[in-house]
Amino acid sequence: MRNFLQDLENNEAILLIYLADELSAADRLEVEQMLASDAALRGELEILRQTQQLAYDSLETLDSVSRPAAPPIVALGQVSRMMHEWTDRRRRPEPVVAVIRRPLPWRRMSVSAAAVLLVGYYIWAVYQPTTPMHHPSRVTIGSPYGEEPSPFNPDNISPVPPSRELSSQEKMALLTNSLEDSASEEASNLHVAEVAAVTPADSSDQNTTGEP
Amino acid sequence: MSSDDATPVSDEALVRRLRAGDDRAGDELAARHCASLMRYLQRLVRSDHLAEELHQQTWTSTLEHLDRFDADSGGGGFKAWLYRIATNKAHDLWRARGREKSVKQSLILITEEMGPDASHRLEGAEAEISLRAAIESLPENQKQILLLRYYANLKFVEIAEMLGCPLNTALGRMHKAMIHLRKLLAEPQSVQAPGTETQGAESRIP
Repeated sequence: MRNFLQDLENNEAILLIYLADELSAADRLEVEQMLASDAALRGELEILRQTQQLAYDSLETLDSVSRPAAPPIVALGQVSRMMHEWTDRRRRPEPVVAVIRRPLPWRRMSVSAAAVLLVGYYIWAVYQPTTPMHHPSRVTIGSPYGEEPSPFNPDNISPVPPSRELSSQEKMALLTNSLEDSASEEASNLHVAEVAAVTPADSSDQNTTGEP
Repeated sequence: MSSDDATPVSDEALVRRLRAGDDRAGDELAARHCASLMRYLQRLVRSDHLAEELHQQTWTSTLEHLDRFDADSGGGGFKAWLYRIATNKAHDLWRARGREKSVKQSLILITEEMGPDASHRLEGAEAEISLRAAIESLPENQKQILLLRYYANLKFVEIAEMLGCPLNTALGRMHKAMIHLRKLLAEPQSVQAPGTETQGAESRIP
């Protein structure tokens, strides 16, 4: 504790803590030896003692002539009530919180997983890139139309070719084709007439042609 | 001194009994510290209303944290802990309301207090006013140490630890407070009424 006195900055600090009786026996003895040998220090101690007494007397006088912030009985009653409420709360048993343990939700989980798979599959199926309708490999699995292309699929609607002016060669080719078609049609008609002529069962209307 | 030193049972033992559910231990603790704590707060915040409010807050907070109080951890035991809570509450109040507002409010409350009771305390009124003015004119950091020393009877080491300052600082402030008070009481004309402090006094930080 010898360091304690050495740590104090000045005589006032040493004397104050000596007056407060907060020194160890050894330190106290040391201070008393200093006081015995130093009259100025003794005078300083006396002034300090009187000043401290004056400060404490002032506070005591002030407390005696001024009323407290709240009547002591009221303040004490309030604190006492708080203490009793506090101890009552501690005495009360903690409310037991019932923990309801549900069975493992394996069934719900499996149903949920199946639903997720179905929804995912449906989305995948709807947004699959479609193939042209004449493609033989196109099979829409799960389509309500079987192997038939869906009429609602915009990919299956044949685009309308843009109208344009035909060149003379194309017109000629079309004309030639149409003539050839009509000629072949006539030839087939003649062939039918010949067949009808050699068949007597079909008599009535065949005679109307005027042929023998 | 307002605290009784010759108590057979220590505060810490009463706290242990209170924790165990002994109501009487709580009553004993309250009886020991209630009045001095109220006076300390009254002098510190300079308002009866605020002192009462802080007094309740201090005990509420003390009970809320009583399980955390460790008597063996040092720091001055239960009393120092109680006053530390009270001081912190006062600091919180100052921070929240601002010093200027607190001074104005306390001035209003002091005026209200003095009015109706003046006839009953004619002989003590002058002394009260001058003493109150002298104590309230002390800088906050000096007043705080003086009040803690007087009302809580805490050791200077405990006060320094509570306020978070070196022991030499605490002792120096106490010495300055006493010198200041002696000077003010010797020259009463130099003591200003509370609330009429100059700009320098208003700039003090609690």
